[in-house]
Amino acid sequence: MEISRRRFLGLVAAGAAVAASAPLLKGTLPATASERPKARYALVIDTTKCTGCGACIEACRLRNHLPEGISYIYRIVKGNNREPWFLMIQCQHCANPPCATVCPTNATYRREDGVVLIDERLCVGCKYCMQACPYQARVYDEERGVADKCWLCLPWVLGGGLPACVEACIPGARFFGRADDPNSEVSQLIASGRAQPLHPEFGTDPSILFYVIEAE
Amino acid sequence: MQTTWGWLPAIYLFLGGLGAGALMVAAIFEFFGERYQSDFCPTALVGATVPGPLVILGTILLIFDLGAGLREPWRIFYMFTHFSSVMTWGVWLLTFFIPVSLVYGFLEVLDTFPAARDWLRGRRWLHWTKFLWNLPLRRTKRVFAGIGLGLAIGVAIYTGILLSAVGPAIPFWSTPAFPGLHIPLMPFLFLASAFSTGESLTVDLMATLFVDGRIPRGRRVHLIHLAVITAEALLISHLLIHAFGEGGAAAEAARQIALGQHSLVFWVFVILLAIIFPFVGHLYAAGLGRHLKPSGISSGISILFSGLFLRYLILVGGIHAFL
Amino acid sequence: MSRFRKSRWVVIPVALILVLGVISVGLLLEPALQALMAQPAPTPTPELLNYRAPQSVECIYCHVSEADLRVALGPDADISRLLILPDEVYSLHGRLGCVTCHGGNGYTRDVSVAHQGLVPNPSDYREAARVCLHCHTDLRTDIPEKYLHTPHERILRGIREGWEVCACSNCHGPVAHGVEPIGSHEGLAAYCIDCHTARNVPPERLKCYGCHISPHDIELDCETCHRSVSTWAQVRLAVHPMELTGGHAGISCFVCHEKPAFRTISGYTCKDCHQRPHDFGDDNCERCHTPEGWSQ
Repeated sequence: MEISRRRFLGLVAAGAAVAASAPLLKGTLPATASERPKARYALVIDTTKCTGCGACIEACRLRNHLPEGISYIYRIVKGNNREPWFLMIQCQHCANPPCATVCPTNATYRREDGVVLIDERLCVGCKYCMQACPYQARVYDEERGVADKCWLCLPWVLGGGLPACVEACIPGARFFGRADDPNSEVSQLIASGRAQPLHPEFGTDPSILFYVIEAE
Repeated sequence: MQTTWGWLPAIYLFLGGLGAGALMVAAIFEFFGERYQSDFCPTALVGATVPGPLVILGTILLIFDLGAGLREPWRIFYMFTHFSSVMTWGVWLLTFFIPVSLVYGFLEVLDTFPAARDWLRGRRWLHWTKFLWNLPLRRTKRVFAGIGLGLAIGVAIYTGILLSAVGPAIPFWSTPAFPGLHIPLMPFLFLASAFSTGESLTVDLMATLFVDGRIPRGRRVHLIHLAVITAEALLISHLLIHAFGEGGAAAEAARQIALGQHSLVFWVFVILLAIIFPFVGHLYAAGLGRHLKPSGISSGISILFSGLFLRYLILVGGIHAFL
Repeated sequence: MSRFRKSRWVVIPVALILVLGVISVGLLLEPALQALMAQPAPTPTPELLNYRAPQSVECIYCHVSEADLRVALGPDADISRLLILPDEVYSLHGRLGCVTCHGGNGYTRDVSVAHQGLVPNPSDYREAARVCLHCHTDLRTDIPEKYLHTPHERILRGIREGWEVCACSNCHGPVAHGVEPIGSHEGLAAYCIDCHTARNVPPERLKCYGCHISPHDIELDCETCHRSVSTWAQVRLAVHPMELTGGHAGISCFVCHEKPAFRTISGYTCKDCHQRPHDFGDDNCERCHTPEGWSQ
């Protein structure tokens, strides 16, 4: 079809205007679920403040109704007798969890927000995940015959609360929040570059970081 | 020492390895013709019939070792689904190995005891299986021997891979076969141990006890066993030396096994009984062409003990990496 | 035996029995053998805190209500340390929970049951090792940046060796009950002096250097300790080699002296202020130089 040059230029200009305004339009449209910022949880533990008192261990045990002496967190004493410092180890909620790889029934899985959970309906209690976790973060529940571990108090967190260990920390050495939010405290701690994962050579990419961890 | 997996896993790993090794020996005898030197070969008979019950027993023990999987056995079906896990490979291998070894054992029984074959053939309630009886026995046996051999190698190796797959979490289990190379050592050690224990049961013990002294036998099988014992010795020493050199949890595990609380079991029941004593015994047998009764029985029982204890020691040496 | 040997099928059960026998013997043998070897001794680790915040739920019901406390103790009783304000429950030390430090039973409102095993002052020197010192493992004996000693060294030693020393709350107050942990200088010093005077402690402890590391290092005005700065113009020659007369009397001490060490004029010589050594404003050469040696 014959089209005049003027008409053609006009059409091109109109098309360009529409294309240029498309981003503007996008901003005014409601975000779909896939475009909303996805939560990504992180927990930063300040080892310079941690006194190794174990309040977090007990608080975790009490919230999860675990038997005496069993908790999802355990303590490692580092340094020497005169100047000890402490590592509180729980499930590191790795981005590349070896426990999920080795579970024969696929009972352990990682959520998109970084939390690694166990579907206890699938777990057969073979304890392979307990061997594969380099942080030894899993405990075996004798009563139910399944593996168990820190679940970041997910119902509390999703309801706007905090994990028990974070609430209980007396010196305030634990910081929990969304790493996808650049204004959150954890994001700023991570951005400082001094929040490091424990033993990165394990290759598991944990979501739990230790602030000012001292090199051995 | 590692305590999550203790004696029960050690026993069923031993049973699995022994069953796999015994089947390997029977299959090798089948393929190389040793089986047909006489119409009664105790080696092949035991090697074909015993793996089935042993591995079934091992699997039952494995199920007993589970927690929730024991109380709600249907969960075990989920163990077949997750192929990134070596344990899933294992349950698939066992699922095929058990029926194949049972059938192979049955075929070997039919071949060895023609009276049994005739008796079964005559049974009226088995008439619907008539088409099976017309199959050539020896050829069917060879087919099952071949499949069984492949599955047996798989069963023997997968336990080693299962342990080494935990990677950096347990450095002792993931010791590499060659420094720098990312091939783990455990699968090779388990294969050697499986073959050694299988051979010790079928040849050292059963052949020595039940074979007629007049039948001429070759020294080949003893030379092969000698080679396997040597390989096992080299692998164990390489494992410990490398573990000591690695430091950390691997060195602690090696120290506990070679020098510490497990050293008595290690040096007497593994090194002395699995390596030194059978080596001498098999040298003698290779030279002579056959085991004398005392040498065969003692070598056989020694290697069986050591196969069990070796697996137990490897399990308790699986100390987690120091944090 | 030979009759058995003739039945060849015996091979199979013999093999199975041998294997099971080996396993059974191994199972029995190994623990015995392991027990023969030396077992590693377990390493002692520091104790964990007996965190009991969730078990402290019922304590609040009486201790938050002034009316309830008055009913229990009478209208004239001093309830200042027994009344807990709701904010204090979430303070740093309040979050520990009442039972963690005070013991007792926080699950009941029955006073006689709740107060069983109660520790009224957990910072008392007999309890502090278990309570306060559980977390506060690195008490400072000096605060270098403020040039202060703290009494902690002596108090810690007293707690370890069982002397009667003060409770942590004597200086730091009942920290979980809404008091700021470190008192002010005046409050602390006054408390120390009062208590030491009452118990006849050696006087040098009451002087400034009992707490302060070096009196001239602190960030206080001179007038806080010295009554007047102007009288330094009459400091004796032995202490102050140059007479502070004339032009020198009016300048500030700190022009020549640098904190923290007043005893030396660090690096100052006359020519640091006076550009030309011989421009002193008068011709009284003998003041500095004597005929014996002009080089002086």
